Amino acid sequence: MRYAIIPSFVLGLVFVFGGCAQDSSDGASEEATWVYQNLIFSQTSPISAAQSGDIKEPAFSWTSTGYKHVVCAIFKSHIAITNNQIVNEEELVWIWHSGLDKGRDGNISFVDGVTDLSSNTVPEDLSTGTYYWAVWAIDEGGHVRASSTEYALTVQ
Amino acid sequence: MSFDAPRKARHESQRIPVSDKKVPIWLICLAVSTLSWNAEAKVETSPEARVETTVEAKVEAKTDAQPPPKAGAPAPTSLPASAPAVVKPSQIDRKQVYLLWYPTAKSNDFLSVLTRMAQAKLNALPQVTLKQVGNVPQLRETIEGFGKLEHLDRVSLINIKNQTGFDGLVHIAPTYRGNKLALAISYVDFRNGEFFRERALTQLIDAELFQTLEADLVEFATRIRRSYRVTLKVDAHPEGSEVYINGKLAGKTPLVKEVKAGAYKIAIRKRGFRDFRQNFQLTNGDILRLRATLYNPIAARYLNAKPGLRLDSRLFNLGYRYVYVGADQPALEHLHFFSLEGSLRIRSLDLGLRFGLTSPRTQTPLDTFLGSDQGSVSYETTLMQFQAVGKYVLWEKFSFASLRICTAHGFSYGRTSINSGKVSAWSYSGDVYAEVVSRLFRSGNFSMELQLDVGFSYAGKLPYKEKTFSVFGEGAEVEKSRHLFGPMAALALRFNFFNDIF
Repeated sequence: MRYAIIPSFVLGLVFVFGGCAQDSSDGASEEATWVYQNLIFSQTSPISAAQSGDIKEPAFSWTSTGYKHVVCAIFKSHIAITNNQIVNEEELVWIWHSGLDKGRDGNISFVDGVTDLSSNTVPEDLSTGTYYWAVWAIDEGGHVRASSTEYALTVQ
Repeated sequence: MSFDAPRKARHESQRIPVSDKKVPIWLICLAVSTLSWNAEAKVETSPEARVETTVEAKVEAKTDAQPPPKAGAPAPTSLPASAPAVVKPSQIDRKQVYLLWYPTAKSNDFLSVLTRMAQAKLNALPQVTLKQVGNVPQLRETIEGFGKLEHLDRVSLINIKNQTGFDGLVHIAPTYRGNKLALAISYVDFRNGEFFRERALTQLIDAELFQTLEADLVEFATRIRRSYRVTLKVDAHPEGSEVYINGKLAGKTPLVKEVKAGAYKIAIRKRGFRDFRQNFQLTNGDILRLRATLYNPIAARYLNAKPGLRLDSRLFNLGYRYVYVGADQPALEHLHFFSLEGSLRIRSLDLGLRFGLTSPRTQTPLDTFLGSDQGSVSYETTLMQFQAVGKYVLWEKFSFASLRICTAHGFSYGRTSINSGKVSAWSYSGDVYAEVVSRLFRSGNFSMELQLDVGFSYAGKLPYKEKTFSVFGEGAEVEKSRHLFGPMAALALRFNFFNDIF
């Protein structure tokens, strides 16, 4: 009798907390505006960035990193990272990097970037929706050394 | 090595049996007279005492066995009792050789040239003085008082020396036949009581004639001079060995040196060879011909090699080995190994173990969105080799130089590090190369040598991570490996310890 109490208690805990988790996820899908608070690449130096100007053609600024390879990109969904590598490249909407010969490290405008790395297509204005953007810097050896947190951008 | 110290006169005197014939009165007078002269010489010129004694003994013996005088020749008794001693022995420095220039004809152009040549040549020789018969009063009469030169026997010749002090005489009798010269030259050795050489030449007066006479004069004077001294003729193999006489360096072989009579400690030395040492007691007139082949312990060891296994030496070397492995990923083109090797020499085979270490740091170019080679990956590589080495001696000049064909096989440990981590692997490694060794220095059992290797090397398989640049993050790292193969060259110092040779 004494031993039958413990499994019953555990089952009760599972039931209670399992119900709370379900409630939380449901709430997020309804809001869809939350962002990650940590740097997108782990163990990197922080980059403090900001967005300004027309929301459809935003400009971006951040503290200059000093690295040769700097990237700023806008994704349609949250930026997914696995092993310090962005894995949802197909969600890319707009990208700027220091090899494009437009803009400069720390100050770029929307027209300085491209929609696709391979085609270098000049971007059109952002359509309505919520976007996520971030800035990161890569050293000469191909290692990410600095990154910002993920920022949200909502076009009405 | 040979030792040849001729004492011809003494030997001759020993060979001549003492006669039991009755001794004539005149002979006793001669002996007494000669003895009195030599007693004087012995006292006044002690270095020559032994020579004089030898001559004296010769006179006595020779007298007993003397052949009958030649027809027309004056008997030994013809020695004038009151023959004037023009140059007394007591006035002569016995180290100096006095020769007499004795032309029979009156001076003419040829004779005056010949005389000047002889004076220049002989007076230039050490301890030789040439005097002309005409310049010394009564000398011609004294010599002629003994009779005709060509008829004089040994005793008479020695007596001329005793009376005049001259050691030799060059007798020149020129006659002219048309445009040719008939020249009779006698080189008379008073000291040894013999005719050294007689020449009868009939020819034009030319350079060849003077060359012949010049050579004769030098040889004649040298022979007499050497009879007053000890001549050392030292030769040794190898050539250029140092000769020490009584502890002092006298020169290098081949060496000809005249020394005083006495006791000598002669040593011949050459670095890398065992010293030769021997003591000699030498008297005037001795010619010591010494030919020594110095003992080379290492050479002897190799030459007298017995069949079967034998440990000859233990050696280790420290060196540098370079392998060119070509430009490839990762950018590791040159390998610079520090090498340590220890081996044993068994007959024509060297067997040993080798350790090699290289730790290069390289930058491999990386293509980025800025362009090709805009980035670079830093690799820290460590390559260690553990190999067994076998070397076969193809050619060897004792331990001075050698040529070997070599092979090394073993394991190689390769490790490469980049920022994201390390990869490592063991693999096979092997070398094939030719080796030239030359000795730099040797002392006792120890020898330091220079070693040069040329060949091909497979340094092993090097694992590494190939990095690709990505605009979206760290990029990919793919584990790969590279075979390191290429030509090699090595330079090393060998420290060789020969086994139980000395």
